[in-house]
Amino acid sequence: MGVLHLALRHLFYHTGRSLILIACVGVALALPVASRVLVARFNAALHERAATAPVVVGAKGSRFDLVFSSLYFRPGQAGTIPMSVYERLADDPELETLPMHVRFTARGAPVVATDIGYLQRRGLRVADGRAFAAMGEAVLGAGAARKLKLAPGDTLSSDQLQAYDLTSPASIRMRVVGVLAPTGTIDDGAVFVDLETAWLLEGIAHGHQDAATVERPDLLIGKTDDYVALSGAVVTEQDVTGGNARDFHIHGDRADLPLTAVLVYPASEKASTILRTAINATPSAQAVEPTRVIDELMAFVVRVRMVFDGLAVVLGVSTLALIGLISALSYRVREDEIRTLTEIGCARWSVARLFGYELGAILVLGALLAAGLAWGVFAAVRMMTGLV
Amino acid sequence: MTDPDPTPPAPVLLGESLRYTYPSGGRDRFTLELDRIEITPGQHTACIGPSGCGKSTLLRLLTGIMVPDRGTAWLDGEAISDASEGRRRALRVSGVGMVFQQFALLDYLNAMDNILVPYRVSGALRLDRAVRDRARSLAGELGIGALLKRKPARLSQGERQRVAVCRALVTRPGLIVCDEPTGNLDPARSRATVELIVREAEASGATVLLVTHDHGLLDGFAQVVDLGGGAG
Repeated sequence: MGVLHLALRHLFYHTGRSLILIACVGVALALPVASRVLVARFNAALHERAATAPVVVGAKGSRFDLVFSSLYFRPGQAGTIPMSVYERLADDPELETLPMHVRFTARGAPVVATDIGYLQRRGLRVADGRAFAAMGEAVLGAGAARKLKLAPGDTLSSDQLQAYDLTSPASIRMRVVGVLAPTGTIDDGAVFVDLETAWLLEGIAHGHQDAATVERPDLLIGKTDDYVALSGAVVTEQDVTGGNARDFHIHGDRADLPLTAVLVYPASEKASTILRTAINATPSAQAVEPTRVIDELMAFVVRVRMVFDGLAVVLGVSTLALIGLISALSYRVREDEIRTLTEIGCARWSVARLFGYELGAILVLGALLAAGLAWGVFAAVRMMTGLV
Repeated sequence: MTDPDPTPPAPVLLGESLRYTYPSGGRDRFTLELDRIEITPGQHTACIGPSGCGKSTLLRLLTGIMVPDRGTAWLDGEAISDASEGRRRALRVSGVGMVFQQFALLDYLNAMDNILVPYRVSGALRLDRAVRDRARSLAGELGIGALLKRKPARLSQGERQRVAVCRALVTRPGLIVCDEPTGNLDPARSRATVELIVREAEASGATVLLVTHDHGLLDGFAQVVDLGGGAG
């Protein structure tokens, strides 16, 4: 204890030097610790989520975009497939299917359009209010409700994709009808709506004054018994309420309406194989297994991490060299002190302990700093990505 | 009838036929040779001589810091030169108080911690409340009781000197060894320092062995060993 007291006093006395050494050790340790923890947590979180959907069907293109859009709600990345693909899959008794449309956001939160079966499949329970039942109704994940400070009865506007494009769909105000219980998953941060709301956001569905009641001749471009052409100056609704719900309608064939993905739960491995083979043979759609896509992604991430590990080794060696150099210089500077201690009666072993305790304290404090830095990096990444 | 002569007290320090040669230095390497030196309890001794004559070497041989090539050094009746390094260290830390040139205080410790250094570095000594009280009492007697929390950099030369004396006395040693404690002091301050050491040593019943090259400090020393000439 006596030598430890001297060691700690010496560290405190040379505060600046001690802090620099602690910072060097902390940074050198934090880099590999943070990268390893992050990669491990990313891997676990991504695989856990990926395992919840055996097959995802979507537009041909990037399989990563498809999986990240449909399972991790990264909006606006995937292409679309027509509803007819979903309907064909839904008719197969060997497959359980969930339609997904994830392209939009509302105040930054992803708007996930699906059907009520999604909530049941994921075990999502409405904690406050009720589930969505009509166009324009939204149910918030617990995290989204907390972050946006919304509750049943409030309204939530979608984010406009192209703020300066007057032809793009306008922002739509949705009514919050429920909030889900927290699950600790990506679902907590999402805004759930039905598919018609997604198409409303796309501009495919819209609401405006009934053409039969339009009286201003400048708004009525043409009219036959089965066809009415209205001017673009007719004001479209931006708010679905109980009063104007009947004004909203969809133009075109429902089979052509867009989805970004279909989550498929095959009854057997055989059904899964047949599904993937059939879908991947088509020119415009693909079927992927999310766990394999994540494996592929993580293999790349691990290669990147190995580069970081190499850098961390270089940093660690240079830090050790720095500490060794400073310790050697310190020993030279403290020769008089060591001689005094030895002549008073201090054993050489105790002198070694004195230096050992100082080095140990620096390493321990550096390790604590590294843990703090790693935790900070981890928390920052979690806040930015919501994935770990 | 008269009583027979009382047995003379056993020497605190005894050196016989001491010889030590520094291992390096080529043809000019230094060799110390001394037939005999004996210091009895209470017999304050000064060791003088020009620089490089071996004063500090003798002090180190007598206190077991170094081991002679030949001859024997005795401390409190025990052949310290023949003892193991651990035993020599234990004898030194408990039996010898040391005052070094320029006092050799540790700059990162306050005055109190500097006084208690022997207890911090040796497992043979136990640091407890009584020791702390004794350290405070010694500091109070030497007029530095209010300065115990100060680091050496915030102490004057005289205050540092008193801290060094406290450190030498706190273990209640039988022998105080001073290795040129007045090296860089002016004559008046040198004399005051030596007087302080001698006075405090006497107050605690310790014997003083002082190494110096300053002949003006020899008053009050019962024995003077001149390594440049002969014993006096």
